[in-house]
Amino acid sequence: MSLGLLSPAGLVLLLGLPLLALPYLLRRRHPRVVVPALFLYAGLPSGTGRRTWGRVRLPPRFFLQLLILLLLAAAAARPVLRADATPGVALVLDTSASMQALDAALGEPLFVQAKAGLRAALEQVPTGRCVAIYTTNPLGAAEGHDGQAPERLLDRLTASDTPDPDDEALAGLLGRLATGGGFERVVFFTDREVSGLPDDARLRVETFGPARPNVGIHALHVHRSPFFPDRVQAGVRVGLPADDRASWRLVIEDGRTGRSLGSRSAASVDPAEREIGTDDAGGLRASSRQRTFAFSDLPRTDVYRVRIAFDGERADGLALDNEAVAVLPEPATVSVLLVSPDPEAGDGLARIANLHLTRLRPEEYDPARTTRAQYTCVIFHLTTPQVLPDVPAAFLLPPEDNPLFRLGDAAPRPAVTDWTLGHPLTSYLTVPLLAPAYAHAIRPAAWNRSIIESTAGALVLAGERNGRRYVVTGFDLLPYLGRANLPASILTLNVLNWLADTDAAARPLPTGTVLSPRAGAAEPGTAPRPRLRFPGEADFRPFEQAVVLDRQGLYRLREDGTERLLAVNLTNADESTTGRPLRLDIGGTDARPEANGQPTPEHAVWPWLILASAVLCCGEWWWAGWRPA
Amino acid sequence: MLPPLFTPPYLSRLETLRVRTRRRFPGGRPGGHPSPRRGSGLEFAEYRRYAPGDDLRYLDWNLFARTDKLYVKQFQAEEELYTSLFLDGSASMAGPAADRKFASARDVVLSLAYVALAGKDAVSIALLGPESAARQPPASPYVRGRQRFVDLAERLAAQRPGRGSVHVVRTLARCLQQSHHAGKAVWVSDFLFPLAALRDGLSLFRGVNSELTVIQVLGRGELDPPVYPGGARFTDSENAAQDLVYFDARAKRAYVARLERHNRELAGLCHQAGVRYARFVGHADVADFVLRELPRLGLLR
Repeated sequence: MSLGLLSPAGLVLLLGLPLLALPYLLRRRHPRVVVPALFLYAGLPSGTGRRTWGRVRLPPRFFLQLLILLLLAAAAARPVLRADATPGVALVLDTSASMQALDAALGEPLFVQAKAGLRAALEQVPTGRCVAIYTTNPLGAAEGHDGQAPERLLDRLTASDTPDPDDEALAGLLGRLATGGGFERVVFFTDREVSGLPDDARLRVETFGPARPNVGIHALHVHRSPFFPDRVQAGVRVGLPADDRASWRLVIEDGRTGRSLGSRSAASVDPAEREIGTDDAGGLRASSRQRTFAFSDLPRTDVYRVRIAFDGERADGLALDNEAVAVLPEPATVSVLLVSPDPEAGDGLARIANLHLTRLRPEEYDPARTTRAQYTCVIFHLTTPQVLPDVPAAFLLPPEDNPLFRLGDAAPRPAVTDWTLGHPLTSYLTVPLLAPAYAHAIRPAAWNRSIIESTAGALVLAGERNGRRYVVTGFDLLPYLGRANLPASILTLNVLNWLADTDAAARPLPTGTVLSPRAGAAEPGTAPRPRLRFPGEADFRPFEQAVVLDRQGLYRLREDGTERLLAVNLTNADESTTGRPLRLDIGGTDARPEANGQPTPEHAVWPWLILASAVLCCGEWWWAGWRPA
Repeated sequence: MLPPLFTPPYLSRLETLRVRTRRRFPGGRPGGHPSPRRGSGLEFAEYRRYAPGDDLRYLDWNLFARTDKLYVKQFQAEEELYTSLFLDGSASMAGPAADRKFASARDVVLSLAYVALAGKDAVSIALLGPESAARQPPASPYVRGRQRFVDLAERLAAQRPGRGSVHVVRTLARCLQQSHHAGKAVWVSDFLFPLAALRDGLSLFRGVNSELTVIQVLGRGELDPPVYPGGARFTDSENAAQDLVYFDARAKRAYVARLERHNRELAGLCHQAGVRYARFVGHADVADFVLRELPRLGLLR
């Protein structure tokens, strides 16, 4: 038998026990004793008088009351006597999202196989042995504490939409269970390989899979031009297995009505699509690759949903990531800083709607005071700074002695010979009509590439460096003349649009972000944790310990009689590459074993403590009444 | 109303006792005690040469026949004894209340008064208290006859230990100055005051030619007081002086030793002055003390 506390926090009441002595100390008065002759008592030697604490004399009633309070405080902690259970088996079930994947050979979810394996392991456990069932999402959550039978517990368990915990956290849990959990055997049912496991004979890992190849949406980004609010573009990044030969289509729909807004075929070779390939920095497996699809001129709606539709009977490995949702953002005002020796050249820019222009002379430009929070982009007109600025920037006709770009030959009225199709800078632009009166060719660098070529050389360069977009033009785009010079004006708007889009592209929505269509912007960290109601499902209770991902999609949230539409994105590419470790901040774990679906036999002690304190209370009351005042 | 102790059997037993003195004191009236005067008693004292005017009945003719001279037989005179009883009425006699020190001392004094009255002695009772020192005569006049016992008892019954300090010597001197006669004196008190005052008091009695007997009345609570380890504010019953004393077991031992030394010095002082000394502890039986202890001490016979 061992003594345990169900509410150890109740012991905090012990801190209040010294308060009991307070009234006794405050009420303590030296009694007045009349003696016939005081001279007989003067100067008597006393042992207690010299001791500091000897002066404090508490009556026996105080100790009786102290005992009563001690018993009550102990009862508040709810002590129980637990019978020592026989060392049993800990069964750890991987409930991460990757367990929803279908088995390559059998076609059934890996989670079903894992639960079958767990059932088989349960049948092998001798009767009377302690069995504990844990899940990995949340990590280390103990199941079965409600006394349900193991079969009912297994029926209740489902694979979550949360990614795998990292190897370190998982190995830590399994190690704790194997070494400190008091189990004679720990079995982990999963679809992954776990590195860093302790070398313990009691620990065993049962792996299921492999899963079918998976095609998943890794990112969905809806872009709304600040200068053309009705012009909506969507970029979709799709992760593909290396040997993907499946036939599927990428469909974009109105998130509210389900009306199809466009589609792309996996087999189509669209100039707007770009294959990214292996990206080591992104954590993708070497055998996977990514493709980016672009949807232009989408009709304006609140919510956009993209899904992968497979042709025929072929099922994807993981259906979870075949859908993504994005919310149309509100058009933002673009704040542009124009640095030019001729500030009046920006008069045309100042007339553009949703554009706030600030003009500086080159000698007034201070890189330290030019931040992304202040300016969406900076236009250096006929000048360049010493180093690339920390904000997206366009360099219009840099001077010959600039430190950033190497210029080529100068040519009057160069003829455009080539341009990059599908690039945002050339959208809606009839490039051959772009005929600058004077241009300087610009030599590309490693981080940029030529967008528009001419007979003199590259006229427009674009590229990204350190997450910032930069555009260099070999000719002067200013002043902005609107319809008077349509090709130059379109190119100017494309440049501004592309630079303004940098910020959104560089800041993908984090996983689990709740988007509000009405607010139109992500509210990371501020959105409440609602109880979401799924159509046809019971209340979905988000996990409270691990990272909350919820299920991506659209949800109708009813709160206080009002209804809100919430879009939940799943934009982390690693969630589609199941098996990839993803570091999570895991909360506290509870490694308390439960006995085969039945709680460990416990005998409550605290009622007896309360009974004893009640008896002592009666005694104290009797004593207080019996003792003379 | 007599105190409960004075039942008829007890009074009968008291009547068998007489006040005893070691010396002879002249009395005002004939009584039962030998007087230094010659008188008409039964006990022969001495011969004296006849002088004209002597009563011829006391001539000793046999001696005349042998010596041919006239001698007159003289007899010891028997007179009353002036018995002065001094009862301490200071506040210290009031406590400890459970010990009834004052009541016991009062009963002892009344018992002695009854013995004296029954022996045809003159009795005066003085209450040495702060009130008596201030307003009323401290001592009663000498009364005679047992019929006056009730008056004495009622007078004492109305008395209570006074409040305030008592100057023992000054109060005692005032009593002795007030119609005091040489004779037997009994001082009943707890004597819980500095012995220097007692020394002065003994000198006063010696100065008025009285044979003094000291009866110390103590309460059981004074001999075995309760302890106060947490400390108590001890207050003098007479002058209200206070002192915080942590009266634990160690302090109690020191107190008991100090009290025993005080009592020992008191007894020694009485012995040096030729004064009889007796101690009565409050919880004891007054009747037994009077009927047994005082005769054994020589105060009564």
